[in-house]
Amino acid sequence: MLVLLVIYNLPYWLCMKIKYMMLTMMISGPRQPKNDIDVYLSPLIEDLRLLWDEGIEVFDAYEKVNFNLRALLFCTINDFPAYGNLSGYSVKGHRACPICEENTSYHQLKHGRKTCYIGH
Amino acid sequence: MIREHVLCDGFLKNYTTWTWHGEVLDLPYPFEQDQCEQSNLFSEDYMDDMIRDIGGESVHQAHVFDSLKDYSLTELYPGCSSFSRLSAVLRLFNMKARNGWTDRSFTELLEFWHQILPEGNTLSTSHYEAKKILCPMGLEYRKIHACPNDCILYRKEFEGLYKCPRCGVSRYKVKDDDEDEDDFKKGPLAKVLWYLPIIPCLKHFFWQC
Repeated sequence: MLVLLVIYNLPYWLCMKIKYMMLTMMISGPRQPKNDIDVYLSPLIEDLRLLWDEGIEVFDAYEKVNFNLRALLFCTINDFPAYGNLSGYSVKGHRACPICEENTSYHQLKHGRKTCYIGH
Repeated sequence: MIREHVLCDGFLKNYTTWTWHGEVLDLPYPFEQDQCEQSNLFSEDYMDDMIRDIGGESVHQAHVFDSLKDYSLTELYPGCSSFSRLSAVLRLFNMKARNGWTDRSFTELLEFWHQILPEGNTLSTSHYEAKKILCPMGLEYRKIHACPNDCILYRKEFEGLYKCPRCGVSRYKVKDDDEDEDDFKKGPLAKVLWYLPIIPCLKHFFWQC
């Protein structure tokens, strides 16, 4: 399992270049951590908190000055099952939408017993 | 001191080849006439700059800087004027990365070159050894041990433990027939988290401008 960070305040033609993506985490197998992913993310979150609360002193080679760099986690990009792990909400069954929660519009097929989310 | 130096003199303008980011090291051609006549020939312009840059980055790791400096001043073999130990390994590693050689093939190649080169050469004889020379240059990473059931990471207050305090599973892989307590403390790790700290990474971005 991998965690990548992308710097999002770069121009859009740069920010998805591999040079500006940071591989920050590799979690070894054999099973994926599921809901316990927060345990593994804790070192990253500590660093992010430091970057948000205090910032770090960084030397800018272009301006040739030191400045205080702060960072903020803007959003996460993941697939839907991983969304469940990250948010800690259910992403299946009758309450599959972590945004609508109990108001999720679902419809269970009578014979197939499958749940579909037509009104969503 | 290094930091001061870097701050005062600024980032090196002629350090254009970012060997640590996949660029090919463009060493001066070793057989050029004027190169061979200089007294200090280990392609100093490039290597020195690079080492200085690394020194600037890891101010707190003066010993790393020193050892790199040492490697860059060691002759590849007695009387060799075109390559230092560091630049030779560096060049070979570049080729390895570009062409996707396997670690094992690289070891074989190094052993072979060790035999070809004159007696007393300092070329590393295995991939592992060669990598150890270059290690301080790359970005750091941390291997954090984890409980195989994802309860905790063995860091901070759990650093020295051998068993998970929540589920009691060993930190290391345990064979089924082994129930001896002491064997808990050795062997391959059950689960590892590789963490590449983002702060040095971000610092790196601004160094590169």
